[in-house]
Amino acid sequence: MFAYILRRLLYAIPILIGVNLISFALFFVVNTPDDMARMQLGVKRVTPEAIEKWKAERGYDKPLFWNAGAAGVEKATETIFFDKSARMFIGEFGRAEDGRDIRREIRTRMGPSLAIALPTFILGLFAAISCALTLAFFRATRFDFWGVVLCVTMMSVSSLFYIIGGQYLVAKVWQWVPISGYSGGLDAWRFLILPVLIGVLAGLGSSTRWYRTLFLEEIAKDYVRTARAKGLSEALVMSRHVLRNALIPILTGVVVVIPSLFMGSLLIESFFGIPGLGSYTIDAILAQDFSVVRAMVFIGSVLYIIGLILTDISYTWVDPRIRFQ
Amino acid sequence: MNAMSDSPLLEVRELSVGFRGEGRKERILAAVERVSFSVAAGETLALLGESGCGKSAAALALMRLLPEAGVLIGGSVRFAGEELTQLPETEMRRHRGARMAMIFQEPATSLNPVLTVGQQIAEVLACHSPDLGRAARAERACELLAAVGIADPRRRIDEYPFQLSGGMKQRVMIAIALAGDPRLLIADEPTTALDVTVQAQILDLLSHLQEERGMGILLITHDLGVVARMAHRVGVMYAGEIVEEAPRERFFRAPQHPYTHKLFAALPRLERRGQALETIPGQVPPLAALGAFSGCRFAPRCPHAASRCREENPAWHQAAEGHRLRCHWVEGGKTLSPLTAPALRVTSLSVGEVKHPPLPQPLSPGGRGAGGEGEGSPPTEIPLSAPETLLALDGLRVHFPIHGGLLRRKIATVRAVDGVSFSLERGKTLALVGESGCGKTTVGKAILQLVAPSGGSVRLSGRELATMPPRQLRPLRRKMQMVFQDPFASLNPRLPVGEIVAEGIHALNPGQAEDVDAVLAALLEQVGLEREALRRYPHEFSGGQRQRIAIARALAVEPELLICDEPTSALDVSVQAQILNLLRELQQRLGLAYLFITHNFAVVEHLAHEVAVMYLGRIVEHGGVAEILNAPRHPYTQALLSAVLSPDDSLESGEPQRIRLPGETPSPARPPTGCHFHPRCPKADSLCREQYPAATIIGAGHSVCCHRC
Amino acid sequence: MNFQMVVLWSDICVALLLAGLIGLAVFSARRPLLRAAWGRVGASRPGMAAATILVFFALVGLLDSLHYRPRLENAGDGKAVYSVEVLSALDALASPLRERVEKTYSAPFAAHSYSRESIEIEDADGQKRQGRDFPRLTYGGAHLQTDADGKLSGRAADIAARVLLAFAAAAGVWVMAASAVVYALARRQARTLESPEIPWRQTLREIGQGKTVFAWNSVLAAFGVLLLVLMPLFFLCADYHVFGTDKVGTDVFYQVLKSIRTALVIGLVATLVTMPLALILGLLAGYFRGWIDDLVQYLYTTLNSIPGVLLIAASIMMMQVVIDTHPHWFSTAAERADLRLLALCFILGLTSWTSLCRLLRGETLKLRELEYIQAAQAFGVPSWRIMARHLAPNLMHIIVITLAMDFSSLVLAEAVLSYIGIGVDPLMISFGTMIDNARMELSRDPAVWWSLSAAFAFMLALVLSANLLADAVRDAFDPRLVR
Repeated sequence: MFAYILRRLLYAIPILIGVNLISFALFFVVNTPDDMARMQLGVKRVTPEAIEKWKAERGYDKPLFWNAGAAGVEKATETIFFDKSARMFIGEFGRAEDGRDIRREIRTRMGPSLAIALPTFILGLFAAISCALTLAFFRATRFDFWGVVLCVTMMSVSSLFYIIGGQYLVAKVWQWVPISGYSGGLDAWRFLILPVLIGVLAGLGSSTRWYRTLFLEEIAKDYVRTARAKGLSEALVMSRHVLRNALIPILTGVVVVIPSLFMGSLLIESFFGIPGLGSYTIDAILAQDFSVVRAMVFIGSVLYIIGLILTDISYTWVDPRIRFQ
Repeated sequence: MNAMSDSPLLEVRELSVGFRGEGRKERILAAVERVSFSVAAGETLALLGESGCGKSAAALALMRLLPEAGVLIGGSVRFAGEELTQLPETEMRRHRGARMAMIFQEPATSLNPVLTVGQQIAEVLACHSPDLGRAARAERACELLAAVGIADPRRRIDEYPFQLSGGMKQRVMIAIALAGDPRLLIADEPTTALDVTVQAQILDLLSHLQEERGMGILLITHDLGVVARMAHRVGVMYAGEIVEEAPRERFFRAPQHPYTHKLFAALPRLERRGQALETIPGQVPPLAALGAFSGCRFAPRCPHAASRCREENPAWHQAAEGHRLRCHWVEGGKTLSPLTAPALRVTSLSVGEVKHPPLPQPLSPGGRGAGGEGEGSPPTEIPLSAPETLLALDGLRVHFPIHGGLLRRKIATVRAVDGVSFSLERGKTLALVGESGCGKTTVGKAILQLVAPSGGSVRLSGRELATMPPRQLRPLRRKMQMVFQDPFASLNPRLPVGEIVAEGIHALNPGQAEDVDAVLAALLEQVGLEREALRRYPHEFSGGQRQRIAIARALAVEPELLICDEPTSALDVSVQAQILNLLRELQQRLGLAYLFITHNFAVVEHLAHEVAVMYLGRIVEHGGVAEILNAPRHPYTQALLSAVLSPDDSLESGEPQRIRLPGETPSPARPPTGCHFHPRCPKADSLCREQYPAATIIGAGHSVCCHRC
Repeated sequence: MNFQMVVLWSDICVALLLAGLIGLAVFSARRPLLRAAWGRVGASRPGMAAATILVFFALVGLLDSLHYRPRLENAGDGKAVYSVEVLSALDALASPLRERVEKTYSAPFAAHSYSRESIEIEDADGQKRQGRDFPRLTYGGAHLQTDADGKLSGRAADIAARVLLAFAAAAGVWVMAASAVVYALARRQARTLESPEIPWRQTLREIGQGKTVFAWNSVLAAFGVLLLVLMPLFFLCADYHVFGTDKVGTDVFYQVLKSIRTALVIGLVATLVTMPLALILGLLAGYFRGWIDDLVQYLYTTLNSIPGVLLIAASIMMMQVVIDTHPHWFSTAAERADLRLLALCFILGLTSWTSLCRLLRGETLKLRELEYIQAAQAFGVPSWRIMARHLAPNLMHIIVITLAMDFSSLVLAEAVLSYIGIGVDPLMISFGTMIDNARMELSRDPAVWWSLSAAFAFMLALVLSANLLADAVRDAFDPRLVR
C-alpha cells in the first residue's frame, strides 16, 4: 500500500520532466527567442538592438541547452533551459511581461479561483448524481426518455451561451446580482452565486447522462438481482447496492480534477471579472505572455499528477478489493 | 418426506413467460409456455433442461424477478395457497427472501463486492425480522454462516466476497437465502460454476439443510448427475415446455419421452468405449423460432416423429402414477426399449472396487457416424509399425512472476506448471484431468509455445521445441494444433468461416495456394458442415457448429497432434456427444494423437487411452484409463472420481461410500509445503507435510506421487 | 477561364475525409456484421432525423470547400490577373448575401439602421435640413415604400406573402421527395414479392406508421422541418437581412453559413490525426505489452497531464509566431487562415488521441487473450498480421463510436478556443469568432441579440444532430448493448 503510493510519486518525476521538455520545446525550439522578440516588439520597433535588449531583459540571451562559453557547472546552468524550465521545479517562475512576480500573483489569485471552482464542483457532482439516480430509478419510462433528451440538448449547448445567456438574463434583465466583479470576505457570495450556478448548469447534462449509464450498468449486474431476491425495496436496492458500487467509478473519476480546481475556470472567471487564475491565464494568452503561460502549464501538470495520485489513493479507500490487496 | 397435504407448497399452473424482442414492433417471444408443476414441503423437484430451454426464466418468474425485457404472459403461481402473480409489488417483497429464497449460478457475481458478508446477511434480517437488534442480527449472521459450514464465522463475517473462494461464496449465498427462514428454496444451477469436489460439498450441504428444515427445493439444472443426487421428482424441459415429469426412480428406470431417452443415451460412459455415442441431430431451437411451432417442439430432432407430431402439440399422457409426458408416439402405445440396461450399469467410480459387473449393453441403433467396430475395442487401431513417441514432456515448468513492491520487482512466483513429464504416442489419446487452476491449460499452451516454458523440455517427434527460435518453430507448428474451450471466443467474429479455416494454410503453406477452395470444402465436409458455410460468419452458427469449424481450422494444416482444451465443456450434452463422436472418428481416420484437457471424467472414460491427473501444477497420478478409473491410487484421484455424479447413482441401493474433500484448491502462488495435497488429504501424515513424494511405479505404465500408496 | 482553382490544404483534408467515408461505406457493405450495425443506425428514428439535418450541413460545408480566385476585370494586357480574395462555390451561390454590406448593425428584417446618423431630411415644405435619424439600409428592405410620414408600409404583408410562398414551395418539394421515396420503396417491394401490382397504399401506410426497417418516416419528417425553416429564409434573404447584420454590416445569415464549414473541418479533420495515432499506439501497447506499453503509457500520461487548453494555447501561440515570421509562405490571406485552421485541427488531434488510445489499449489487452488470437499464434501468424486481421477490425466499433462522440465536443471546443483567442484565425468566419465578436453586444442598449442568437441556433442544430447521431451509432455498435 505504502510502497504503491511511493511508486506512484516516483513515477511523477519522469512525467514532470517530460512535461517540462515538451513545453520547453514548444516555447523555445519551435521559435527562437529572436522570433518572439520580433513579435512582442511589433513590426515598427524591430531593430537588432531592440531585440538584443528585449532578450537580455528577460534572460533569453543565453544558449538554449549548453553554454560552451561558460565554465564548469555553469556550462549547464547558464542556459535558457536551466533558467526557465529547470527552475520551475523549485517554484521559481520568474516575472511576467508587466514585471510582476508570477509566484506572488498565483498565490493571491488562488483564493477567488477556489471560491468559484469548489462550490461549482461539489454542487455539480451532487446535482448530477441526484439527477442520474432519479433517471435510473425511472429507467425505461417516458420520464427517463425525455430526461435523456434534455441531457443531450443541454450538452449540445456551448458553455459560452450558458454564461452569456445567464449573465444577460439574471444580471442585466432581472438585475438580481451584479453583472461582474469580485470582493473578498463575506460579501463575495453576491458575486459568486451566479457564476457557480451557471457552472453547475453547464456541466449538468453530460455528467448526468454519463452517471446514468454507470447506474444502469450496475443495475444489470447479478448482485442487484440477489438484492431484489432478498425482498429489499427498490429504493433500498438503489441506495445501498447500486449507488454504492457506481460511486466507485464516479468518485475515482472526479478525484483527478480536484487539485486542478485551483486553476479556476477560464471562461467563467473572465466573463464575471473574477481575479482568479483562470482569468490570469486568459489575460496572459491574449497578451501573449509566454512566461505566465509556461508557468501555468507547469502548475497544471503538477496538479494533474497530484490528482492521479489522489485517484489511486481514493481507489484503495472506496474499493475493498484494492484495499486488501 | 413431510406431509404431502392437499395443497402443495408451490403450485404453478400454465405459466408462460416471454421476452420483448428487439426493434419497434412490440413482439414478445415466449420462452416458457404453459408450464405446470408443483413442489411439496421437504421435496426436491428438479427442472432438467439444456441451455435456452427456459428453465431459468421460469424460476425467475416465480420470484417475479424477471429482467426488464421479461414479461409474465399468463398462468398462476400459488405459494402456500396464495396467488403470487396478482400480488402488488410491496406484498411480493414480503415473500421474497422470507418465505421463498433463491440462489444463483455464479456466486462470484451474485454477491455485492463492496459489502461485507455480514452486512449482506444482516440486510435480509433487517428486512424480514425488523424487531431484531443490531447485535442480534450479527449473532444470527454468525449462526447462519456456521450452519452452512463456514469455519470461523466470526472472522468471515467481516470479510468481503473477493476474500472468499468460489465454494465459500456459494455457501454465503445459501446463508443469505436461509436468513429469512424460507419454506421454498429455488436453486438455479447452484453448482455449475464450481469444481466437482466443491460441487459435492455444496450438494451435500443443500440436502442436509433440506432434511433439517423441511424446505421445498426447486432445483434448476442441466446435469443428470446432479438430478440423480438431489431430486425426488424430475421435470424435463425442452424449448420452453415441460415434456416429461416423473418420480426419480421411475425417471431413471424408465424414461419415456424420446428426448429424455436421447439425453441418457448421449452421456458418455465407460462401457460405451469404442462405440459412437448416440446423438441428437441438430440443436435446441432458438427463442425466435419457437413461435413458429404448432406441433411438438422436439419433432424436428425426434427419430420417431410422424406428420401428426409436426402439426399438433401433444397433450399430457399419464404413463404411470406420477409419471406423465407429452408425446404422440408414446401415447399411441409405443414404448421405448427400457433404458435400464445402460442406466443400471453401476459405476465403477466408487473407490477401489467394482461393485457390479458391467452388463453387456445393446446399443440402440441410429448412432451417428458409428462404424461397425467391435464392442469394447479401443477407439483406434491404426496399424502402426511400432508405437512411436510423438510428444514427450520432461520436467516442463511454466512460472509466472508476480511483481510488486517499490520497483515492481518479482516478489513471488505462480507455479502454474511445475515439473510435468509425460509422453504421448502417435494416434493415442492422453487425458489431462484436473480442477480449475491446476495448470492443465497452461501445459497445452506451453507445448504449442504460446506461453514460454520456464524450464524443462518439450519434444515433438524428437525435436526440442522449448529452446527453438521462432523462425525454426514455424514449420513444426504444422504438426500440432489446438482446439479451444470456448467456441464463441475462438473464432474471429469479423471473418467469414472460409478465411478462418484458411488461416493456417495461408500462414504455414504459402506456396500451396492454387486450390484452397477445394481443400476448404473438403475440410468442412470432414467435420460435418456444408460447403456453403465458407462464406458465412461465425455468429450464424451454434456452439457445436462453431466447435466443428474450430476443429476444421486446426485440421487444415494436417497436424499429427491435436491439443483439445475442454472442447465440450461449453456445450450441451446432446451437442457434446456429436463433438466427441467427431473427434473419435477423426482419430480413427487420420491417426491423430490427442492431448485431451478436461475436468470431466465422463469424457475421459469415452475417449482416452491414458489419463494423467494434475493437482497444483504437477501430475499426481498417471496410468492407463482402466487402471485409473477402476483402481485409482492417489487419494486425490479417488476423491475426484468419487465426486463425479452419475445418473446411475440414483439406482444404487443406499448411499455409496463417498470421499468428501474438505476445502478447495490452494493458490499456485503459495502451494502448501510437502505434498501439495496434504491439507485436504484424509490420509496425510507428518511425512506428507514435509516432503513432496516422488513418483512410484505401481504397475505397467501406472505411477503415482504419494507417500501413503 | 475567368477563375483559377485554388486547393487549400483543408480542402485536401475534406476530400480525404470524403474518400475515407466512401471507403468505410464500401468496406461496411461487404462485411455483414458492419452492415448489420449500420442497419441498426438506419433503423434509429432520432439518429436518422439527425442524419438528415447533418446532410444539409455537410452539403453546405462541401460547397464551401471548392475554392477559386475570380479573374479581375481590369487586366488590360491580356495577362490573367486573379483576385487575392479566395472564394468558394458557396460564396458564388450566396454572392448577394456576401456583397450586400450595410454600414453597421441592423436588426433582422429591418429596413433601417440600428444607430442614428446625421442625414438630410426633406421637410414637408420641401426644404432640406440636417438631422439625426435612423437611415434606411442600402439593401435590407430597400424595395419597401415609405408612406407620407416616413413610416414603412407593407413590410409585414410583404414578409407574410413571401413566407406563404415559401411554405407552398416547401410543400411542393417535400411532396415530390416523399413520392419519390414511396415510389422507390413500393417498386422494390413489388420486385421482392414478384407481384405485378405495386403496393402503393401499403408502402405509404408502412412509412407513415414507422413500420419500415429504415427510418423513412423520421427522415421525411426531418426533411420537412428543414424545408419549412430553410425555404422562408431562402425566399426572404434576397431582400432582407433575415438575421440582421453585424457591426461592420455583414449579413449574419451569410456568416452562419460560412461558419458551418469551419465547424465541420474542426470536428472531422482532427480525427485524421487522432485515429491513426491512437490506433497504432494503442495496438502496439496492448499487443506487445512490456516496455512498448510502458512507453506509450508514459507518452499519454505526460500529454494528458498538461491542461488541454494551455497546451493548445501554447501550441497556437507558437504556430502564430511561425506564421507571422514567414509571411512569404502564403500568397493569400485565406491560405494563411487555412494553415492556422489546420494547425488547430492538428493540435486538437494531438491532445485528444490519448483517451481513444487508452480505450484501444485496454480493449487490445482483453482481445489478445481471446482464443482466436491464440489460434492465430499457434499457426505462427506474424504479429503485424494478427494486429491487422484480428485485432484492428474488432476495435472498429470503439473507433467509430469515439469519433462520432468526439465530433460534437470538438465543435464546441472550437467556439471556446476562438473566444479565448487561440482558435481559428480572427478573419476566418466561425461560430467562435461570431460569438467572440458579439460578446459585448448584449450590453448595448437596445441589446444586439441577433448575431448571438443566430450562432446559437445553428450551432445547437449542428451539435444536437451530431450528438443524436452519435448516440444512435453507439447503440448500434456497442457489443454490450447489441447482445
